Order: sequence, then C-alpha cells, then structure tokens
Amino acid sequence: MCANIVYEWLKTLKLSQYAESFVDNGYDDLEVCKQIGDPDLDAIGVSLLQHRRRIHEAVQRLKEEDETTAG
Amino acid sequence: NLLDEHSPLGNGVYRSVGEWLEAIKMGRYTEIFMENGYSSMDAVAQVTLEDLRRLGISLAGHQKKIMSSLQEIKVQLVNGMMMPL
Repeated sequence: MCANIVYEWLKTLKLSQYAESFVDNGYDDLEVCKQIGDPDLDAIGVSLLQHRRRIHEAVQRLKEEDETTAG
Repeated sequence: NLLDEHSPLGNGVYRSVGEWLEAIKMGRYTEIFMENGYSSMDAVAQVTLEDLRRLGISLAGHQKKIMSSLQEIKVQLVNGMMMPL
C-alpha cells in the first residue's frame, strides 16, 4: 500500500508531500487522478499556485497518454 | 467514550453513518447523508454512484472512496459479520 502509484507519480512531479492527502481523498490511482480539476485540488489542500499548475499539466499529460494508446 | 480507533476501512462495524464517514475521512458529508434520509448504515448500503451525484458529492476521488468503502461493507453484510441494527 505504501508504494502507491499515485505516490510514484507525485514523486516524479516533486510533489510527494501531497501523496497522503491524495490517497485520503480517494485519488489513489491514475485513472481517478485524470479527473482532477480545481475543486479536487481544493479538497486535497494544494493551495500553492505553482503546485496546482504542475499537477494540472501532469493530469493533461496523463489524458494525452491515454489518447495515444487508445487511438 | 472509547471509539475503536484501530478500525481501518475493512473493519466494517460502524455504529452510525457519521462514524463511518469519519473513519474514511469523509466526515464533511455526514449532514448531507442524514438530511437526505441515509441515516442508518442499512440505508447507506443501498447508495449508488448516481445517489452520490444527486447529493452533490461531485469529486471523483470522494465518490471513489465512498463507493469502495460501501463495497467492503456490503461484502461484510453478506458474510454476516455485521450486527443488524
């Protein structure tokens, strides 16, 4: 349970300090992380603008990877 | 008042909806559940994803967390591990 995929993902973004809060709020796999928007980040408690931007960009990349494999 | 602090998601013996939601860190929704008639664990066990949306629980992570916890509770109900209310 500790080496969670979301933890690994956040680690690559250098935002692993949020991992526990992500998992506590139910964002415990990349499928659900793809649906993250501003309300989700509010609930998780990511308030720093640059951190929010970094996560938004990473979510966008997750979605794009999806389209590539599906397409 | 000795609440079982060791109860993880899998324990399943929750005495109230509030206690269950607190245990999965979704305590902020207790009032919404109570106000909409999901005031016992029996009632809550029937909740669907559509119901959550109707209640205004729109965050994907929170929906996931509540539904997967309900899934575990239902499995335990089937296994007869939960005392009837």
